[in-house]
Amino acid sequence: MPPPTPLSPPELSYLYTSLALSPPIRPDLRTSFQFRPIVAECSFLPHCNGSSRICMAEAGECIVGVKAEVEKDATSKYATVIERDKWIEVSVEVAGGGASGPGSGVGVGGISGAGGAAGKDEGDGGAAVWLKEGLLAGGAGILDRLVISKGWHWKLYIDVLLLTPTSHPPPLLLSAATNMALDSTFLPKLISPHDVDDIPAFSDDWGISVPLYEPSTFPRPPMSLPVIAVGDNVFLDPSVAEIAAAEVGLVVTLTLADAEGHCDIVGVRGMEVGRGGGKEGERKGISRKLLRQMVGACVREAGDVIKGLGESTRQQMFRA
Amino acid sequence: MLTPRPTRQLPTSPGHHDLTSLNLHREYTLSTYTMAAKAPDRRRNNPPSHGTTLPVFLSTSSDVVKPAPPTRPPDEIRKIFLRTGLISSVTGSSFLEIAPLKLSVSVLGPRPLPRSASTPFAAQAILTTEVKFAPFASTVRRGYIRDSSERDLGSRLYQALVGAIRRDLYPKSRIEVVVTILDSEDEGDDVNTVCIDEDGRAVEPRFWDVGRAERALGVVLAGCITAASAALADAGIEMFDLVSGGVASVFADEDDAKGKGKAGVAQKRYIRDPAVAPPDGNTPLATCVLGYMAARDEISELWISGKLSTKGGTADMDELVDEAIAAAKSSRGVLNEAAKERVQFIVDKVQSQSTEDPSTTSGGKDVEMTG
Repeated sequence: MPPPTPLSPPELSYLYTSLALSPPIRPDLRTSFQFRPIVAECSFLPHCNGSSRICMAEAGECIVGVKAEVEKDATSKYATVIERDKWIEVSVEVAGGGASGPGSGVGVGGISGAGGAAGKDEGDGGAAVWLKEGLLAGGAGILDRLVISKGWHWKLYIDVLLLTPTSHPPPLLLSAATNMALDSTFLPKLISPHDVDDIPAFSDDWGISVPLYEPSTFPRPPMSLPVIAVGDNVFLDPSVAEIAAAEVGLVVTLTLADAEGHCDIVGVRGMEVGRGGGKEGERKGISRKLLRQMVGACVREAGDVIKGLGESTRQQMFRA
Repeated sequence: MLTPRPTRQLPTSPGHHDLTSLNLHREYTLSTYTMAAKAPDRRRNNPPSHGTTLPVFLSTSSDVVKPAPPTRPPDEIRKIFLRTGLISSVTGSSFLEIAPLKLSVSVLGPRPLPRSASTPFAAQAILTTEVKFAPFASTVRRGYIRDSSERDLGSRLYQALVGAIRRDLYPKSRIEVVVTILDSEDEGDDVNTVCIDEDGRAVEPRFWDVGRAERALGVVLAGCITAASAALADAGIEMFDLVSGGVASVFADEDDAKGKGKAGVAQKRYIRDPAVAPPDGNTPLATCVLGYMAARDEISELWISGKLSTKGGTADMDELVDEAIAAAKSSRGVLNEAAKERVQFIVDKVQSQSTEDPSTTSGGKDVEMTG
């Protein structure tokens, strides 16, 4: 089922037509690739290693806390087995009960929809799965940073709390908040030697704590941008109503690859859209040309968006 | 890796065998005798009343078990076995086999939505998809409750199929697609796991196998998409086009991946329908899975995971997507045959009926249209 919208079929049809025009007219008169303003705050939860709060248009609000724990590698008699994909745990909680709340969890994930699920078994619509996938894809640079010393590593808990389940399309909101929280994560400095497998010791001076993502090193934490297409037009940062009217949608996950703002693609996923109520258009999937346009638009714009968010994080972190 | 393989010790001679079982038998009867005086003791694990032979664990050292080197060219997909209509109690069904992967798909419906206050009005058919690994389908046992990766596969399958079905022809009804994976390529055990020798010589002997889970799940998802399309066709549900699944992975030379390669063009290798284990000396970069409607030249579901450079715009991604589309086109041939087989079956059935009863000769062509 498409994400629930309060729009009636005639309204959807009107929206579809205006978005398919050349040039298109968006309901809030933005240009095709224009993002809406956001309020971003970081490092405000005292009990977390890193945290962020993002507010977006359409009353979207999300809080992320990153906590790190010291963990020993699982050692058996003959071999040390390091299951590195278990070093990061992502959970997405939807305020208001998630699956039982308004919207029944449908469309909360947004990505490849919670639609199709037979039961209401998942409030986050699989958001935790793709957030983690984006983090681990692309060489898994983050996992190398979690190694403390021989036999010890950090276990990272990324807890996402989505305060407004159905308002803002979550991919951008959740990934921006996770990006900022990881960017502001600091771990205590190791003071025992690296190559000893004793229990590691850490400095209790937070002034010399080390950032998880060293500034001006690459790649940076990933970020997912939703992109939709109506007719021949491609739109970034779509609103809920635009997603309901869209024919096809993608979520492109990117990470900053160098200081000039070039990005690497680390993931592309289909996004569930409303298909204009099901009547409009003849398109049933994405043609190769359209795919190139949609991903190309994300690649062009992502550099500025991620860099802007990173800049804001840095200003807040080093303001004091 | 040591894989203990329980092997029952074979008797060297009949006499020897008798002796062992006799000895064991006597031991057990002794212990059961003392307990048998009272009612059976439920607090203890009672031994079996008959003798047992001890299992012998043979270690399979690495030189014994070695996977056969891939003989398949990189642009060729594995052979697919696809049959429809094997489950008679559902509207449509299919069974698919690609080397180790085995899965069966059932399509239920279209059937009316339950009449209750909580059921919303549906102008189009509601599609639900469910993917479940059988508990014995992989090395690590799967539970009966669907885990997050199974739910994820289900929602991707939904995305792949939902656009292709003419849902507006089935208002107020629901179509259910249920996929059961009976066997899959070994995804568990040492996925993304690094083994370290006890003496600490080899700290990290293997490259961390990036994207192993993605390749394994990708092959499964592509199989699900192809088989589900066949089952939907078998159920006679009207569709815009059949959706076939395709997977492709891109690998780079190990030196290039570590940045040692010269600044020139990195040697890239595209492999369609990749095996879980990466080819020797190659580092996986990215995997692409898609659902492709060949007659419309449209992608209904896309999933790329891995790292793709955007130095040349979207060129890297385009190449990978083109490879996956080529893989999907190859499996489309099998899908067409499976759909055709079913139509042929119905046509034959009707024709054999019409030879018995000449009054229903007009029926044959109608049936052919619905397939």
